[in-house]
Amino acid sequence: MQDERSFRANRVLDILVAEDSPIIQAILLRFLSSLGHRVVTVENGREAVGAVGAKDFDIVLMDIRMPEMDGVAATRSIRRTPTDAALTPIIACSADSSREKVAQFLEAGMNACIDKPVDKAALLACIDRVLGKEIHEMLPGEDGEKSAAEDGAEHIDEDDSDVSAFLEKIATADGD
Amino acid sequence: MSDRDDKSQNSGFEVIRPPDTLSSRVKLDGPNAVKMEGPQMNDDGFIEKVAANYLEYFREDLKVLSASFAQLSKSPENEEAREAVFNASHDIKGQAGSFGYDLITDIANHLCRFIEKIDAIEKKHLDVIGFHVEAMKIAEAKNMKGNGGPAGQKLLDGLKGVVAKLGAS
Repeated sequence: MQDERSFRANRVLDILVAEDSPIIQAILLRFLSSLGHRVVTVENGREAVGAVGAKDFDIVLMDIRMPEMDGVAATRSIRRTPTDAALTPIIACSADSSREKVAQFLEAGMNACIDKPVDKAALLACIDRVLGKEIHEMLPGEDGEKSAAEDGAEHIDEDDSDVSAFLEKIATADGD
Repeated sequence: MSDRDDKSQNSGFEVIRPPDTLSSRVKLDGPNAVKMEGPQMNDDGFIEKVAANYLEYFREDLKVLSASFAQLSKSPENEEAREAVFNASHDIKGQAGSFGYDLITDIANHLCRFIEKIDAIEKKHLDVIGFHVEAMKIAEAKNMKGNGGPAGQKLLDGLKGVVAKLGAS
Protein backbone atom coordinates (compact mmCIF):
# COMPACT_ATOMS: atom_id res chain seq x y z
CA MET A 1 0.00 0.00 0.00
CA GLN A 2 3.03 2.26 -0.11
CA ASP A 3 2.19 4.19 -3.22
CA GLU A 4 1.24 7.71 -4.07
CA ARG A 5 -1.94 7.11 -5.99
CA SER A 6 -4.92 9.18 -4.89
CA PHE A 7 -8.54 8.12 -4.86
CA ARG A 8 -11.89 9.51 -3.89
CA ALA A 9 -15.24 8.05 -2.95
CA ASN A 10 -18.63 9.41 -3.98
CA ARG A 11 -20.40 8.02 -0.93
CA VAL A 12 -19.50 7.13 2.63
CA LEU A 13 -19.38 3.47 3.57
CA ASP A 14 -19.51 1.84 6.97
CA ILE A 15 -16.69 -0.69 6.84
CA LEU A 16 -15.70 -3.33 9.36
CA VAL A 17 -12.07 -4.36 9.26
CA ALA A 18 -11.40 -7.69 11.00
CA GLU A 19 -7.63 -8.01 11.20
CA ASP A 20 -5.33 -9.12 14.00
CA SER A 21 -2.19 -7.40 12.74
CA PRO A 22 -2.09 -3.87 14.18
CA ILE A 23 0.07 -2.82 11.26
CA ILE A 24 -2.37 -3.97 8.60
CA GLN A 25 -5.25 -2.62 10.69
CA ALA A 26 -3.58 0.78 10.79
CA ILE A 27 -2.90 0.78 7.06
CA LEU A 28 -6.49 -0.06 6.16
CA LEU A 29 -7.93 2.31 8.74
CA ARG A 30 -5.79 5.19 7.54
CA PHE A 31 -6.47 4.58 3.86
CA LEU A 32 -10.21 3.95 4.08
CA SER A 33 -10.76 6.79 6.54
CA SER A 34 -8.90 9.14 4.20
CA LEU A 35 -11.63 8.45 1.64
CA GLY A 36 -14.27 9.48 4.15
CA HIS A 37 -15.42 6.01 5.07
CA ARG A 38 -16.37 5.15 8.63
CA VAL A 39 -14.19 2.28 9.76
CA VAL A 40 -14.55 0.00 12.75
CA THR A 41 -11.72 -2.41 13.53
CA VAL A 42 -11.82 -5.69 15.43
CA GLU A 43 -9.03 -8.14 16.13
CA ASN A 44 -10.59 -11.55 15.60
CA GLY A 45 -13.46 -13.38 14.02
CA ARG A 46 -15.48 -13.60 17.19
CA GLU A 47 -15.46 -9.83 17.57
CA ALA A 48 -16.35 -9.50 13.89
CA VAL A 49 -19.44 -11.66 14.34
CA GLY A 50 -20.47 -9.58 17.32
CA ALA A 51 -19.85 -6.29 15.52
CA VAL A 52 -21.88 -7.31 12.47
CA GLY A 53 -24.72 -8.32 14.77
CA ALA A 54 -24.58 -5.02 16.62
CA LYS A 55 -24.27 -2.54 13.76
CA ASP A 56 -25.07 -2.34 10.05
CA PHE A 57 -22.00 -2.38 7.84
CA ASP A 58 -21.88 -1.88 4.10
CA ILE A 59 -19.01 -4.28 3.82
CA VAL A 60 -16.61 -6.37 5.90
CA LEU A 61 -12.93 -6.82 5.14
CA MET A 62 -12.12 -10.13 6.77
CA ASP A 63 -8.65 -11.43 7.51
CA ILE A 64 -8.47 -15.21 7.46
CA ARG A 65 -5.88 -16.23 10.01
CA MET A 66 -6.94 -14.64 13.27
CA PRO A 67 -6.89 -15.80 16.88
CA GLU A 68 -9.99 -17.15 18.67
CA MET A 69 -12.05 -17.47 15.49
CA ASP A 70 -10.68 -17.36 11.96
CA GLY A 71 -12.24 -15.46 9.10
CA VAL A 72 -13.83 -18.50 7.49
CA ALA A 73 -15.56 -19.56 10.70
CA ALA A 74 -16.63 -15.97 11.36
CA THR A 75 -18.13 -15.72 7.87
CA ARG A 76 -20.05 -18.96 8.33
CA SER A 77 -21.36 -17.63 11.63
CA ILE A 78 -22.41 -14.31 10.10
CA ARG A 79 -24.18 -16.09 7.24
CA ARG A 80 -26.16 -18.10 9.79
CA THR A 81 -27.29 -14.97 11.62
CA PRO A 82 -31.11 -14.88 11.50
CA THR A 83 -31.22 -11.21 10.55
CA ASP A 84 -30.29 -9.06 7.57
CA ALA A 85 -26.79 -8.93 9.00
CA ALA A 86 -26.35 -12.33 7.38
CA LEU A 87 -26.37 -10.59 4.00
CA THR A 88 -23.48 -8.23 4.75
CA PRO A 89 -20.95 -8.43 1.91
CA ILE A 90 -17.65 -9.91 3.05
CA ILE A 91 -14.30 -9.64 1.29
CA ALA A 92 -11.54 -11.98 2.37
CA CYS A 93 -8.17 -10.28 2.84
CA SER A 94 -5.67 -13.07 2.74
CA ALA A 95 -2.00 -13.61 2.16
CA ASP A 96 -3.02 -16.96 0.72
CA SER A 97 -5.23 -16.52 -2.32
CA SER A 98 -4.52 -19.82 -4.00
CA ARG A 99 -7.37 -21.22 -6.05
CA GLU A 100 -8.16 -23.83 -3.39
CA LYS A 101 -8.26 -21.26 -0.62
CA VAL A 102 -10.41 -18.83 -2.58
CA ALA A 103 -12.84 -21.65 -3.28
CA GLN A 104 -12.96 -22.35 0.45
CA PHE A 105 -13.60 -18.67 1.21
CA LEU A 106 -16.42 -18.46 -1.32
CA GLU A 107 -17.92 -21.69 -0.08
CA ALA A 108 -18.01 -20.22 3.42
CA GLY A 109 -20.06 -17.34 2.06
CA MET A 110 -17.49 -14.68 1.31
CA ASN A 111 -18.17 -12.58 -1.76
CA ALA A 112 -14.62 -12.03 -2.98
CA CYS A 113 -11.00 -12.29 -2.00
CA ILE A 114 -8.16 -9.80 -2.18
CA ASP A 115 -4.53 -10.71 -1.82
CA LYS A 116 -2.14 -9.31 0.77
CA PRO A 117 -0.27 -7.08 0.73
CA VAL A 118 -3.35 -5.13 -0.20
CA ASP A 119 -3.13 -2.95 -3.30
CA LYS A 120 -5.20 0.21 -2.93
CA ALA A 121 -6.68 0.23 -6.41
CA ALA A 122 -7.44 -3.49 -6.30
CA LEU A 123 -9.14 -3.16 -2.92
CA LEU A 124 -11.37 -0.29 -4.03
CA ALA A 125 -12.23 -2.03 -7.30
CA CYS A 126 -13.10 -5.15 -5.34
CA ILE A 127 -15.36 -3.20 -2.97
CA ASP A 128 -17.12 -1.56 -5.93
CA ARG A 129 -17.54 -4.88 -7.68
CA VAL A 130 -18.97 -6.61 -4.62
CA LEU A 131 -21.35 -3.73 -3.88
CA GLY A 132 -22.28 -3.43 -7.56
CA LYS A 133 -21.69 0.33 -7.54
CA GLU A 134 -19.01 2.66 -8.86
CA ILE A 135 -18.07 4.33 -5.60
CA HIS A 136 -14.37 4.91 -6.01
CA GLU A 137 -12.24 6.51 -8.66
CA MET A 138 -8.57 7.24 -9.06
CA LEU A 139 -7.88 10.95 -9.28
CA PRO A 140 -6.75 12.25 -12.69
CA GLY A 141 -3.03 12.52 -13.26
CA GLU A 142 -2.23 9.69 -10.90
CA ASP A 143 -1.42 6.88 -13.24
CA GLY A 144 -0.18 4.61 -10.52
CA GLU A 145 3.29 4.16 -11.87
CA LYS A 146 5.57 2.69 -9.28
CA SER A 147 8.38 4.79 -7.97
CA ALA A 148 11.98 3.96 -8.68
CA ALA A 149 12.30 2.86 -5.07
CA GLU A 150 9.54 0.32 -5.50
CA ASP A 151 11.26 -1.04 -8.56
CA GLY A 152 14.34 -1.77 -6.53
CA ALA A 153 16.45 1.17 -7.62
CA GLU A 154 17.09 2.03 -3.98
CA HIS A 155 19.16 -1.09 -3.65
CA ILE A 156 22.50 0.53 -4.32
CA ASP A 157 24.75 -1.92 -2.54
CA GLU A 158 27.21 -2.83 -5.26
CA ASP A 159 28.76 -5.61 -3.22
CA ASP A 160 26.57 -8.60 -3.92
CA SER A 161 29.19 -11.13 -2.91
CA ASP A 162 26.96 -12.56 -0.19
CA VAL A 163 24.18 -13.00 -2.74
CA SER A 164 26.60 -14.78 -5.04
CA ALA A 165 27.85 -17.01 -2.22
CA PHE A 166 24.28 -17.86 -1.27
CA LEU A 167 23.38 -18.71 -4.86
CA GLU A 168 26.41 -21.00 -5.13
CA LYS A 169 25.37 -22.77 -1.97
CA ILE A 170 21.81 -23.44 -3.04
CA ALA A 171 22.92 -24.42 -6.53
CA THR A 172 24.90 -27.31 -5.04
CA ALA A 173 22.23 -28.33 -2.54
CA ASP A 174 21.25 -31.94 -3.06
CA GLY A 175 19.03 -32.54 -0.05
CA ASP A 176 21.34 -35.11 1.54
CA MET B 1 -36.04 -8.16 18.60
CA SER B 2 -37.53 -10.89 20.77
CA ASP B 3 -36.33 -14.44 20.57
CA ARG B 4 -39.66 -15.59 19.24
CA ASP B 5 -40.91 -12.82 17.03
CA ASP B 6 -41.59 -14.82 13.91
CA LYS B 7 -44.49 -16.77 15.25
CA SER B 8 -46.96 -17.49 12.55
CA GLN B 9 -50.53 -16.72 13.53
CA ASN B 10 -52.22 -19.28 11.37
CA SER B 11 -49.79 -21.87 10.19
CA GLY B 12 -49.18 -23.48 13.54
CA PHE B 13 -45.40 -23.12 13.56
CA GLU B 14 -43.02 -20.65 14.95
CA VAL B 15 -39.44 -19.78 14.20
CA ILE B 16 -37.41 -19.77 17.37
CA ARG B 17 -34.36 -17.62 17.04
CA PRO B 18 -31.60 -18.20 19.50
CA PRO B 19 -30.68 -15.21 21.61
CA ASP B 20 -27.94 -13.20 19.94
CA THR B 21 -25.73 -13.22 22.99
CA LEU B 22 -22.57 -12.40 21.12
CA SER B 23 -23.68 -9.17 19.50
CA SER B 24 -25.28 -8.07 22.76
CA ARG B 25 -21.85 -8.31 24.36
CA VAL B 26 -20.19 -6.23 21.68
CA LYS B 27 -20.34 -2.55 22.46
CA LEU B 28 -19.56 0.10 19.93
CA ASP B 29 -19.62 2.84 22.53
CA GLY B 30 -18.59 3.19 26.13
CA PRO B 31 -16.30 1.02 28.23
CA ASN B 32 -15.03 -2.19 26.64
CA ALA B 33 -16.31 -1.06 23.26
CA VAL B 34 -14.97 -2.45 20.03
CA LYS B 35 -12.27 -0.05 19.00
CA MET B 36 -12.77 2.54 16.34
CA GLU B 37 -9.02 2.70 16.44
CA GLY B 38 -6.47 0.47 18.07
CA PRO B 39 -4.37 1.87 20.88
CA GLN B 40 -1.30 2.16 18.70
CA MET B 41 -3.34 3.76 15.96
CA ASN B 42 -4.29 6.63 18.24
CA ASP B 43 -0.71 7.67 17.73
CA ASP B 44 -0.99 9.71 14.54
CA GLY B 45 2.49 8.77 13.49
CA PHE B 46 2.10 5.03 13.91
CA ILE B 47 2.12 4.13 10.23
CA GLU B 48 4.91 6.59 9.50
CA LYS B 49 6.98 5.06 12.29
CA VAL B 50 6.43 1.59 10.95
CA ALA B 51 7.14 2.72 7.40
CA ALA B 52 10.30 4.52 8.43
CA ASN B 53 11.52 1.62 10.52
CA TYR B 54 9.89 -1.33 8.82
CA LEU B 55 13.09 -3.34 8.86
CA GLU B 56 13.08 -3.20 12.65
CA TYR B 57 9.62 -4.76 12.69
CA PHE B 58 10.75 -7.22 10.06
CA ARG B 59 13.76 -8.23 12.16
CA GLU B 60 11.40 -9.15 14.98
CA ASP B 61 9.33 -11.23 12.56
CA LEU B 62 12.54 -12.83 11.32
CA LYS B 63 13.45 -13.78 14.87
CA VAL B 64 10.09 -15.49 15.27
CA LEU B 65 10.51 -17.24 11.93
CA SER B 66 14.07 -18.34 12.77
CA ALA B 67 13.07 -19.63 16.22
CA SER B 68 10.16 -21.57 14.73
CA PHE B 69 12.42 -22.99 12.04
CA ALA B 70 14.97 -24.05 14.68
CA GLN B 71 12.19 -25.86 16.54
CA LEU B 72 11.00 -27.53 13.33
CA SER B 73 14.54 -28.61 12.51
CA LYS B 74 14.79 -30.40 15.86
CA SER B 75 11.49 -32.20 15.39
CA PRO B 76 10.30 -32.16 11.77
CA GLU B 77 7.16 -34.09 12.68
CA ASN B 78 6.07 -31.29 15.03
CA GLU B 79 2.94 -29.89 13.40
CA GLU B 80 2.86 -26.90 15.72
CA ALA B 81 6.37 -25.91 14.70
CA ARG B 82 5.47 -26.32 11.04
CA GLU B 83 2.40 -24.17 11.57
CA ALA B 84 4.51 -21.57 13.38
CA VAL B 85 6.95 -21.38 10.47
CA PHE B 86 4.06 -21.01 8.05
CA ASN B 87 2.33 -18.36 10.15
CA ALA B 88 5.46 -16.27 10.59
CA SER B 89 6.13 -16.37 6.87
CA HIS B 90 2.47 -15.69 6.13
CA ASP B 91 2.56 -12.55 8.29
CA ILE B 92 5.73 -11.34 6.60
CA LYS B 93 4.16 -11.91 3.20
CA GLY B 94 1.14 -9.81 4.13
CA GLN B 95 3.11 -6.88 5.52
CA ALA B 96 6.45 -6.39 3.78
CA GLY B 97 5.02 -5.34 0.43
CA SER B 98 2.89 -2.71 2.15
CA PHE B 99 6.08 -0.91 3.08
CA GLY B 100 7.86 -1.27 -0.24
CA TYR B 101 9.65 -4.56 0.40
CA ASP B 102 8.08 -6.54 -2.40
CA LEU B 103 11.00 -8.96 -2.70
CA ILE B 104 10.59 -10.02 0.93
CA THR B 105 6.88 -10.55 0.32
CA ASP B 106 7.72 -12.66 -2.73
CA ILE B 107 10.21 -14.81 -0.82
CA ALA B 108 7.78 -15.29 2.07
CA ASN B 109 5.00 -16.18 -0.35
CA HIS B 110 7.27 -18.68 -2.09
CA LEU B 111 8.03 -20.27 1.27
CA CYS B 112 4.34 -20.49 2.22
CA ARG B 113 3.43 -22.16 -1.05
CA PHE B 114 6.32 -24.60 -0.62
CA ILE B 115 5.32 -25.57 2.92
CA GLU B 116 1.74 -26.15 1.81
CA LYS B 117 2.87 -28.77 -0.69
CA ILE B 118 4.93 -30.84 1.75
CA ASP B 119 3.38 -33.98 3.16
CA ALA B 120 5.98 -35.18 5.66
CA ILE B 121 8.93 -32.90 6.28
CA GLU B 122 12.29 -34.43 5.38
CA LYS B 123 15.85 -33.16 5.57
CA LYS B 124 15.71 -31.71 2.04
CA HIS B 125 12.59 -29.76 2.93
CA LEU B 126 14.29 -28.28 5.97
CA ASP B 127 17.16 -27.24 3.71
CA VAL B 128 14.78 -25.44 1.38
CA ILE B 129 12.97 -23.71 4.24
CA GLY B 130 16.33 -22.67 5.67
CA PHE B 131 17.36 -21.22 2.30
CA HIS B 132 14.26 -19.06 2.29
CA VAL B 133 14.99 -17.80 5.79
CA GLU B 134 18.56 -17.07 4.77
CA ALA B 135 17.41 -15.23 1.65
CA MET B 136 15.14 -13.03 3.75
CA LYS B 137 18.05 -12.24 6.04
CA ILE B 138 20.16 -11.22 3.05
CA ALA B 139 17.34 -9.03 1.74
CA GLU B 140 17.12 -7.41 5.16
CA ALA B 141 20.86 -6.95 5.55
CA LYS B 142 21.11 -5.34 2.14
CA ASN B 143 17.90 -3.33 2.58
CA MET B 144 16.50 -4.67 -0.67
CA LYS B 145 13.48 -2.52 -1.36
CA GLY B 146 11.07 -3.05 -4.22
CA ASN B 147 11.90 -6.14 -6.22
CA GLY B 148 15.47 -6.00 -4.94
CA GLY B 149 16.89 -5.17 -8.33
CA PRO B 150 18.95 -7.75 -10.24
CA ALA B 151 20.45 -9.21 -7.06
CA GLY B 152 17.01 -9.61 -5.53
CA GLN B 153 15.68 -11.33 -8.60
CA LYS B 154 18.67 -13.67 -8.58
CA LEU B 155 17.81 -14.58 -5.00
CA LEU B 156 14.23 -15.33 -5.93
CA ASP B 157 15.20 -17.26 -9.05
CA GLY B 158 17.68 -19.25 -6.99
CA LEU B 159 14.96 -20.23 -4.54
CA LYS B 160 12.65 -21.21 -7.37
CA GLY B 161 15.43 -23.32 -8.79
CA VAL B 162 16.15 -25.15 -5.57
CA VAL B 163 12.46 -25.87 -5.05
CA ALA B 164 12.23 -27.20 -8.59
CA LYS B 165 15.28 -29.38 -7.96
CA LEU B 166 14.50 -30.74 -4.52
CA GLY B 167 10.74 -30.52 -4.77
CA ALA B 168 8.12 -30.76 -2.07
CA SER B 169 7.37 -34.45 -2.41
